Amino acid sequence: MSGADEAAIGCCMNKRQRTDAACASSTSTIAHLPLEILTAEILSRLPVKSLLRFRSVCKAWRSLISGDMLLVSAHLQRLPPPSSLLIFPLLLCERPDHDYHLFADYDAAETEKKKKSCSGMAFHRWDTPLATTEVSLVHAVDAMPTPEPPPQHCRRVPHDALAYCDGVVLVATAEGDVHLINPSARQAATLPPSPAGAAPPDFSRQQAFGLGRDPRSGAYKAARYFNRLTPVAGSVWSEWTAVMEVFTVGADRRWRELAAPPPPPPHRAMPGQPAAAFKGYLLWTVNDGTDASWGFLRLSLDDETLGVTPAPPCHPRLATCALSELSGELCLVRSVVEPAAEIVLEMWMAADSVRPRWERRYAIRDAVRFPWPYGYLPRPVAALDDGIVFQDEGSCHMDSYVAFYSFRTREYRETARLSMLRGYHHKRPGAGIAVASKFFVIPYGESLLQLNGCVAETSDVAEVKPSTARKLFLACCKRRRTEDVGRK
Amino acid sequence: MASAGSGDEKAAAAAMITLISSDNEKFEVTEATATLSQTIRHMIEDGCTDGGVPLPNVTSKILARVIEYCKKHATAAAGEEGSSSSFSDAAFLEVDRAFLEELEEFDDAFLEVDRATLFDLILAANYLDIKGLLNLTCQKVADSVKGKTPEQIREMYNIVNDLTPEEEAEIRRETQWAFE
Repeated sequence: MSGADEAAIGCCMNKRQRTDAACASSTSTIAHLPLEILTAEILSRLPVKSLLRFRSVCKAWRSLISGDMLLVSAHLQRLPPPSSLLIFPLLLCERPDHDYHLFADYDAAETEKKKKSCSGMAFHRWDTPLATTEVSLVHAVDAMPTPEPPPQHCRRVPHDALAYCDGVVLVATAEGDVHLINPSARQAATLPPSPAGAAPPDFSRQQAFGLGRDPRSGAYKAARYFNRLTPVAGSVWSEWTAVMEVFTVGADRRWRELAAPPPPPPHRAMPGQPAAAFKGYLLWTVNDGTDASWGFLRLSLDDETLGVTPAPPCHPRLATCALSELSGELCLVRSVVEPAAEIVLEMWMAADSVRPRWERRYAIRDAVRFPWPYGYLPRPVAALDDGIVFQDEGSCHMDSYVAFYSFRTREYRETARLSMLRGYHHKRPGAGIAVASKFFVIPYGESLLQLNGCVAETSDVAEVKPSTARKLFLACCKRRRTEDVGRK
Repeated sequence: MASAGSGDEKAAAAAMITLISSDNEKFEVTEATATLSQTIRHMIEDGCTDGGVPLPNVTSKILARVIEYCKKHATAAAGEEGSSSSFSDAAFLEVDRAFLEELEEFDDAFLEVDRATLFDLILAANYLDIKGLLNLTCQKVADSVKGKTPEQIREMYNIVNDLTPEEEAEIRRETQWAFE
């Protein structure tokens, strides 16, 4: 009996029957295993690369690996805690109109495609971020084919247009295109345009994205929050109303607008700040400028209802804070100026997003180089065994560092200067000067999510050699005095 | 068996359970050993183990191996419980570490079986609901297939390739990098 037959039969039998059938056979092989063991216990332990290769074993394996959301979920559950980082650089290009814009890096993709004109996105994987200075190109996407000559028609990527969840990345361009990228499976897809219409000129200032996974169905959902100018009935005036759209990857063909608005008084999300994905919810920081209570606009990915998560009991200038998921907890960083004029980076943690009990876990001195409004707060990226990795942008994006706070020594140390990523300082013919100016640093996780065929439009994938390595220069390590409160 | 356990555990361990394999061979095991299996634990809780537990899905050859695993790990579980309660001095930790190393060696040696036996062990671990054994055996299979080509997988497990050459070429084209 072939493996496919057995697996196919396995689908229509209950567990007990299958176990009996399997035991009755004289030669037990992988094909005689109950389907749920094969999926949840064996295939889920394999790297994405092996699984994509095993799609060509037989028809049963192909359909199992290509479309089974249970396998995607089981695979994620077996992931070790993140120890690698994913670096996504944006280039600052001078356009013929002498206007500077940020672009996704297309140079890496272009080189590999033998100078074919395209504007792609490149993702670099940085393993053991504190021990090595080498990053390798894992994936470059020819996501946005453009007519000649680049880069006039390149899609601009706004500063904060990137959301991520379990290793899958959402990139929104200033023009309103939304791309999903799974670097570990080397796949990319473009979501259909929003029915809400063409983007206003300051599109990026009016919307905020999020990407999360519904824990119940295992489905990935992209969410788009935006403010819409709506005429007020019986008046000549218009007002901004908050709108939430959701797109379920693999099920939807178009964005769906949620009927229920955010809870009154209007809780508006901070435009341009992507949502933090946390335990089946997406959380956007509520705009300080409104009358709303301080907190976070919360979208349940399961039943798609909106709510508000209260902020920690600290100075509620949330616009200057950064919310993220950090090793299973919700983490808000903010800066405080202490009486001795010292600036302290505070980290507030909570394990629940509906009724959070915020706890001030860490207070790190000398980590904040430029307090608001002069610079950006260090953003926690990943918690490792012995400390926390931060992305620290200082006073401008070009001054971007990866920093590490060690639990053991209680020191906050800059470990690598991202703008020195080799190969990103160059002049491109006819395109003015391009320098890497903005970096997104996120935890790297392998995801089996297949984007081919699950959205309306999939993109070409540029052929890249993942061994293409670039070097990160180590910054001089400044010793920094630090203090730690609470546990650890 | 559970020599490191407390008085209560000893009393519990003294109770013997009879397991009956598919080929009608009887195995006497302590309750501490048997309850590593959630399936048997539930049967004991329901009080339906008098006269032996028939396991029609497990042959005597495989059941003997499973019991060997359970005996070793039941001792380990009892040891862990004992040390976590009140004994946490250095000497005890030292003993623990030595024991964990021994357990690891045991697991490695335990997995030195042919492929058919390994799959029978997986099926038995699944049927008897023994988490540790299921993890151990499935990880072994995963490690052994990880670096293989599709052809090697088919050969190893007698899987017939029912994909057309066109379909196979299509998969290769889509994810050429995964084959390199």
